[in-house]
Amino acid sequence: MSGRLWIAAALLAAALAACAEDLTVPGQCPDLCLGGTPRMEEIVVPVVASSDTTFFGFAGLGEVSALLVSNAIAAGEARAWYQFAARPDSVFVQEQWMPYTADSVVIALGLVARDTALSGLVLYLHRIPYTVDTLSGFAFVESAMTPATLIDSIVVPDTLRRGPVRALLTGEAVARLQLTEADSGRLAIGVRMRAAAPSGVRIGSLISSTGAALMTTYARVAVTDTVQQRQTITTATLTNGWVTRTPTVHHPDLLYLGGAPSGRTVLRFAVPKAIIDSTSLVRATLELVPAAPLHGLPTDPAAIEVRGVTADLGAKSTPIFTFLQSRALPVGTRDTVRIEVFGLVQLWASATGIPQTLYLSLAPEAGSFHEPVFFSSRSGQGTPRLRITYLRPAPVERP
Amino acid sequence: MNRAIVLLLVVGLVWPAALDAQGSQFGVRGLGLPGLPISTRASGTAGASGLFDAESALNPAAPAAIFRPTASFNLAQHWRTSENIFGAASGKDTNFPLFFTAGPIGERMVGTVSASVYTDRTFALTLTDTVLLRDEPVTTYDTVRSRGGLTDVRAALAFQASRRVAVGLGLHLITGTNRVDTRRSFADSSYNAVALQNELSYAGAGVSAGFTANPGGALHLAGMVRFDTDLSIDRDTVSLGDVPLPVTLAAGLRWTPSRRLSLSSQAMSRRWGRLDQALRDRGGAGAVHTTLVAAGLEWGRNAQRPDQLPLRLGVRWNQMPFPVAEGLETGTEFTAALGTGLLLGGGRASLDLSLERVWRSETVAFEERGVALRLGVAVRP
Repeated sequence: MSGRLWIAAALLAAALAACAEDLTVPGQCPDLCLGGTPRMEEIVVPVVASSDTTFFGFAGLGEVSALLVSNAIAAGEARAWYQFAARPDSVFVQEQWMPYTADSVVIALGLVARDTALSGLVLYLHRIPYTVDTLSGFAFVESAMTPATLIDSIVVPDTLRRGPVRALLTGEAVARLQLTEADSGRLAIGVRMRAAAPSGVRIGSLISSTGAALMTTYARVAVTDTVQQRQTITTATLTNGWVTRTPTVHHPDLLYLGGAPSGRTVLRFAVPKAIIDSTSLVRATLELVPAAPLHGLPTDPAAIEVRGVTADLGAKSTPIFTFLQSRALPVGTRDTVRIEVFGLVQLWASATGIPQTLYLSLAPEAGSFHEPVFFSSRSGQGTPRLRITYLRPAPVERP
Repeated sequence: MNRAIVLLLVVGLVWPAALDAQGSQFGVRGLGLPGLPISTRASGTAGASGLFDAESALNPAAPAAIFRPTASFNLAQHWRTSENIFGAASGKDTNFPLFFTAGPIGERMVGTVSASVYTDRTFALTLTDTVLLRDEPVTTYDTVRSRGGLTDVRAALAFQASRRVAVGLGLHLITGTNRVDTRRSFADSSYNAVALQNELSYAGAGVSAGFTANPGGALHLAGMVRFDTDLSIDRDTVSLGDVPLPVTLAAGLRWTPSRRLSLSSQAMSRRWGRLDQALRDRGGAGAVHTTLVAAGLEWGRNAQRPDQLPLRLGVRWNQMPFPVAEGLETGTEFTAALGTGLLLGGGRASLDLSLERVWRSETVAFEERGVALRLGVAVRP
């Protein structure tokens, strides 16, 4: 290759190698701003009058994710109960049913949540009538929890936030769990608590991840084979539930979330098409005004979950499970609860046929001290509303 | 070599988006930063020889000197530093300012087709502001990115009327798009970033006429006049109406005292002020008429082969038609250039190179300094 061609090739390579782009220049509107200043505006859209409502019965007492036990807190006085399956009065040893003698019994519970700021938490286990069921009221359970029915107490270590706790009964204490024919071999226990200050705990239920209460009996059988003398009998929870001294009375002009059976709320909006179609949304906030102070366990927050729906069928609306926005609930205030729902409102703009409906529920749904109550469009105040901030298109054609 | 011409044509057709890209803060307003449809060879003299340069698209008569089919393209790499009252930034970008093809039609006529930058509206701005949202001040960060501008596609005929005079006529199609992307983000993460896209499209036409003449001796004259129709502007699918385009008048002198030396000068007036009211009516900052003057020389270092690596020098001063900010006077641009070139394959191909140093300013508030390296490649089968 000649020298000239080398020069030409080098120049071309250098020029092409330099091909890169960085155009940015600092500026300030309106002095150096194409199309003028983008305009940001805000609109408050109240819920469509009388279209907001709460539907109940989604999660019953038997389907709660945790059982509530409390001691003099504002959220309400609560007691939990477990009914165990029937414990056999004999065991099958050496090809025959043989009676046993209980040496010790362990009752294990799962602690789901507690107020970690409090110390001195003690759980008390009482033997209550095995006839307890989900229709039983607070008075029935509470009246059965007397000093005479106390089985044992469990001192919960202050360091334990979550996990199993257990009561071990040995010696004469085992007699407190003696089962009679009148009981059909079944045992029910009630749980109450005490702490250094008013507080509450959530303990495991049949559907919680920690599991419900479990009773294990360590027994001795009168056989000569020493290996088979010691037997273990495990008895699982058959049903469980919790009762409160002050069950919520639902008012048709208010909106509820949670509780047991749990409530879910549907809010319907009519955001102007001019906003949905012709502007760029930058923020959308759902504002709910509490009708009563928000009660709950301070260090065990519940969250309001907000979803869109694929079709608005009232209580049977199909929530969009893939898109969820949530907000942890504060405790002890009546401040307006604000939940960012930008993604959901954006969905109304981008997907045709998605109704402008928000579907609210509480998490955990029926196993929480939180049971927020909000004003509705019928309350005469504090109507649920959407506060939408949006950007009007800038006039880029402005030269 | 016909394949080379075809290749250059194809490149020119499939790469229109790259034709205009010179990010400058002075391209924000009006129709953008006007371009000069000159070749790399002419840019070596800062455009002073543009009216005489056969492979530039300024004077429709100049291609009369072409006697072989010719195709050329020009590439420019820009580096610049922009300063304004809001800060300073350095940037760089690449563009292809001119595609040019020509071929003789009979013995005295040459036809040309070219595409060049008419105005360039490629830039990116970063803007910071504080707005009151929900009764609280929120800092916003905007990025406005604009790409595109106006492209001048010219078909021209140059006619060698006599041994000393050539005339030319050009028809122009002015087209182009301007894609504007606006992104806004917020210091408060509760607010979601927004991206807006808009596209402005333009359409217009024009006609130009020019001449070159050698009244005798070493003196050469050239001149051109150009009239453009109104430019229609659409935003996406909505018509935004028309704005007028300028009338252009240019005249040039070239003195060639020897085979090795050529001195050129040029003056051009563009009546951009015709747009003033139309731009103001649309909320713009208006426009003014502009003047351009340039002077340069080409010196052949080799007396036997003056086209081999000659030295080209030139300076140019011109006004910019669109004020950057409302109420400011229009800015000016000063360019100093040098260049060279070489012939390859017995003149069947050529390579030209130029380096331009550019100073732009508008009062003391907006300044820009830049360097442009241009490369021109031409094939003449």
